[in-house]
Amino acid sequence: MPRILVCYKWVLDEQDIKINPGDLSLDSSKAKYKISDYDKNAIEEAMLLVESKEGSVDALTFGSDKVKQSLKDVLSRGPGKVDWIGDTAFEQADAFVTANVLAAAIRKNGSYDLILCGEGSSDSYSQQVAPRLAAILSIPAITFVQKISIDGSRIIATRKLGDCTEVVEVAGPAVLSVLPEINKPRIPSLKQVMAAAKKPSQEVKLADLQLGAEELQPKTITLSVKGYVMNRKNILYKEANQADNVAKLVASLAQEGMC
Amino acid sequence: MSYALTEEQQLIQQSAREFTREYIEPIATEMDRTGIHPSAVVQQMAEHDFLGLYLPEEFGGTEAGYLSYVLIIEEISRMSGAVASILINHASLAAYTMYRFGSAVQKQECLPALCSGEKLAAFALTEPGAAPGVGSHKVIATKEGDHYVLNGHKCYVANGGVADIYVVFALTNPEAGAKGMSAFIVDAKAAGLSIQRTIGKMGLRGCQSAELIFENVMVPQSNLLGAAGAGMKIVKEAQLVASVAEGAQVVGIAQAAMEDAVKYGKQRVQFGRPIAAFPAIQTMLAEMATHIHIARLAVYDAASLIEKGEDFMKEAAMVKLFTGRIGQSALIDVIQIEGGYGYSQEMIASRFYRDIKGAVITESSAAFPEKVIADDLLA
Amino acid sequence: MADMTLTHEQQKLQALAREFTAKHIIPVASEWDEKGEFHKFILEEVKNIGLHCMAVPKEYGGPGCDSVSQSVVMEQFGYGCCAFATTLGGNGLSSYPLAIAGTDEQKQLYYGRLVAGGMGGFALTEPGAGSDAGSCATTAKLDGDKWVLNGTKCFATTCGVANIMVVFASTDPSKGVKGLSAFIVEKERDGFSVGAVEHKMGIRSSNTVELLLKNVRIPKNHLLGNEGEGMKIAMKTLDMARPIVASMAVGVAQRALDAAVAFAKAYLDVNGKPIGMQQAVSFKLADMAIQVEAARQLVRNALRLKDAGVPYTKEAAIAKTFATDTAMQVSADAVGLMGNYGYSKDSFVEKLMRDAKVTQIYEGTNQVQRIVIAGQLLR
Ligand SMILES: Cc1cc2nc3c(=O)[nH]c(=O)nc-3n(C[C@H](O)[C@H](O)[C@@H](O)COP(=O)(O)OP(=O)(O)OC[C@H]3O[C@@H](n4cnc5c(N)ncnc54)[C@H](O)[C@@H]3O)c2cc1C
Ligand SMILES: Cc1cc2nc3c(=O)[nH]c(=O)nc-3n(C[C@H](O)[C@H](O)[C@H](O)COP(=O)(O)OP(=O)(O)OC[C@H]3O[C@@H](n4cnc5c(N)ncnc54)[C@H](O)[C@@H]3O)c2cc1C
Repeated sequence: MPRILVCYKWVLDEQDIKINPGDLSLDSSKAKYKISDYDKNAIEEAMLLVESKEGSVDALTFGSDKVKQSLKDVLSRGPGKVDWIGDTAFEQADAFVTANVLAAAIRKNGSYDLILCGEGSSDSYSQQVAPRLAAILSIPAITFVQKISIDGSRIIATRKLGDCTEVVEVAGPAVLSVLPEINKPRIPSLKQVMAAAKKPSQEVKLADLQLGAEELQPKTITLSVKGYVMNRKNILYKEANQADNVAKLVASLAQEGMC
Repeated sequence: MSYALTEEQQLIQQSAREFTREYIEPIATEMDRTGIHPSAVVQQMAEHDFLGLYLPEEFGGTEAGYLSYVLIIEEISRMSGAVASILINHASLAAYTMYRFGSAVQKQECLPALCSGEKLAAFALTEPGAAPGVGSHKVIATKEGDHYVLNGHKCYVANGGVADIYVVFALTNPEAGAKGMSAFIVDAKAAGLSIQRTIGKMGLRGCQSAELIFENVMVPQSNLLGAAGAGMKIVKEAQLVASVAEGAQVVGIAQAAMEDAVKYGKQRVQFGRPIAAFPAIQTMLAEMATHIHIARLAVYDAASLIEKGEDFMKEAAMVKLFTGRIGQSALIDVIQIEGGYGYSQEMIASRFYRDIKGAVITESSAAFPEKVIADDLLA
Repeated sequence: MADMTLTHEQQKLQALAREFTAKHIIPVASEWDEKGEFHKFILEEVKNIGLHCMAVPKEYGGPGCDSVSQSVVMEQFGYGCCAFATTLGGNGLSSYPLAIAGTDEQKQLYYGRLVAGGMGGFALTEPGAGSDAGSCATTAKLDGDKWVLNGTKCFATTCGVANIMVVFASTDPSKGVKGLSAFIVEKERDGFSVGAVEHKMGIRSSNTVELLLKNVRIPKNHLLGNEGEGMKIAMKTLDMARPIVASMAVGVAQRALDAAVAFAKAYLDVNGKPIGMQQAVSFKLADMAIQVEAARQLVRNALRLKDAGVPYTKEAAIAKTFATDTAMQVSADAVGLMGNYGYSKDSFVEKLMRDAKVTQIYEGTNQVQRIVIAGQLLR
């Protein structure tokens, strides 16, 4: 009866983010939030594991004050309970800080046989939180997981490595980060959506986690975030003869070092 | 959109959006071509609790409210008006009628299967009196002992032939005209009930329409819905409830079509600039955006009234009247913006054009929106 | 019933066209629409009564019909099937450039083929040049005593089966619109081929194709008018053609009105009375009739001006816009009024509604008509 924890991040939907043509700054004023895509795979995997084995699934998230909006969404996808930390500290947090916060919350709130993360978040995709979390908690980390099975206290995972796979086995607890191909997340049914309202959620105050100032001090400072644009050269070849047009095109590609 | 949707409603909307992308988008074009009922999608809708979503939990529903239900219709319609029609005929017309007018026993017997998707329902009202030379095929119900015996034809029955259960309107007292009409629950497998043919339509293809023949179909008296002679009252209420869902269908189709026109208008260059830069195009877009916005608010408002159990007839009729006009004109303009290309069968706009017309048709004079609104004003 | 505002000759032609429509078009129109194949055999029939090339003057062996006569016939054909009317209208359209700028020799060639039963085509539009016809990318270069044409045309009506065509190409791309010229191209020329066939939402049995021109060599004297006069010729051609499109649209609208009236008389409401007795229905019919009649008279007015030899550009554009908007509105209203029956393939009004839309797009979109009208007003 494994006890599983899933860490998920509440991120801006990248599809809604526009790039301002002038200074290339990001305009997220119309962007909605969502559960980071790979985290949906992590949640789904947790649900699949307990469906065949019984057990329980909890969810944990660290975010800004907006993270509260995510609670019913995550609960509708299956977990029985969610713990959340909503704090302005999140805005500056890097993988170091995030992992410190998550680890502290896990230590405070319970023991788990398995902690699942997505391979990387939809927004920053640093792929660091899972391994850092494992290091802080002094338990094994398995990354790039595309298959998981649990046998008593043993966790067997298949990792995808370039052009081969590796099967590893650890004694739990452990942190695993999963790849999107591990499963296809289900779309919550409406009964699950309605039931989410009745499931418990618990706020964890950052202050109660007794983290030192240094643990909340990001190692990485984001100096700027900018979009990039592909500029068109807007050159039109208008010769009557198509062969001339082709010749000119080839010549200019050669000049740019493209061929 | 500032209409205050609750967190649940937003999640339901999101769920429906994911559902539509996953299960409907891949089949929508092909379904329009073949016109074949998408039974796998209906099964998926059942598994996601769409079929009984506003009905009470005691009957197997989800009790998510009528507003949540129209949100789902709107989302589905952005991809397929036909799938939305299947759901509307099942949930707003047939299931609603049973829920509102059925006895406790009828509800216990019928509704759980309609909510779980074990059974699909249909609403059989129209008769083929119009086809020239066909004459009258009114369905007459004659009382014999503890049964009624039904004879006649029903036409253009949506979900006809694929439904497991029909709400059938028949004349129990033909001399009394409208006042002699009654509603019955009829099992699709009842002896003497057969499918004459399925009927091709301009759009909403995939929501199958059929002509039904009743030949001495024995219906137990216990299957009479509401009182004998209450048929017209039932039709009016059910159609007005459905009007609100159809309004959401119009909003969904028009919204998707508009987004398509916006995309096209930004790309298509004539006279050295994107056609979207022409005031003529901007005016069309601005008008349809305004109409869609207002229509959506009217739909949500009427749905909230239904949900709260308040009087909704006038507001529902207003939805019908308004969406009927603006849906049609939005699609005429969308094709106009897309020019010769929009007229091509391969462009999604041409499907929306055909579909939206089906969503705005008023079938029964009982629910004639101008009449309902005026009656309310003049009462 | 004879239209007493027409001359005796015109009345006779109208009766002939009406009879032809009833006998040869109406019975098969739906079937050809369903198939989406070119209605070749109707075309063969129309040749028997000599109405396939109405615009060809008597001295070249044609019937030399005046404009009102052409309009009267095209209204009847539009009444029967807008796709078929489009085929014949396109045939006429393709011959107008000859009337505007053709030499005697060119007329002998072009009209000769039409009179002999060949079909004509008019290829102006290109993928990048729709409303902005001047931005044509097809080129024509003089090589010795031959013009060499290269490029792609699209949305070319009947051109997949046509025998001879007027094709627009630029003889001097640096001059833009002023570099456009018009050419006669026969289908048997080397390098001429038909590309993709357009699958359309409506007028499905009209043939709409892409034309591929690869080093098509045509004699020097196949240039119509002078180099650079293409745009002028195209604009005059469209002036002549617009009232004809408008006539077809009036036919479509009249058919929709007639269908709605017949329905209103035949369809009985639940009380056994024809629905036409309801004011909500009868006033709708009256509104439809007002539009149809106004459209018809606007068309006739433009054509009388034309036949009188006075400027009629503005009136032609007004008639085209109003008549095609009427066809759109009235056909959509007819479907609405006839409910599920109108929306189904049991009736033909759904076809009218699909067909009507294209009339607002081709031969200059109704936005382009406004550019023309406003241009005349603000001169
Ligand atoms: C473009 C860009 C590039 C960057 N590159 C680097 C870099 O190369 N090196 C570097 O050190 N930093 C980098 N950073 C900064 C920093 O690593 C991240 O922004 C930091 O916050 C880590 O979170 P993540 O979203 O990347 O987590 P990831 O490590 O990608 O997330 C993996 C998983 O951890 C869990 N998780 C992550 N965040 C939370 C949360 N808040 N609550 C609960 N679970 C969570 C989820 O399960 C998630 O799927 C970069 C930032 C940006 C914007
Ligand atoms: C069935 C069919 C048959 C046809 N047959 C023929 C034929 O035989 N021969 C032939 O040459 N062509 C033919 N056409 C082409 C037809 O004439 C063009 O489709 C039409 O001119 C519009 O061009 P477009 O489709 O490229 O639209 P676009 O020009 O791209 O127009 C898109 C939209 O922008 C609007 N718009 C464009 N410019 C302006 C402006 N300046 N101001 C305001 N609004 C503007 C238009 O009104 C329209 O709403 C046919 C088209 C169809 C669909």
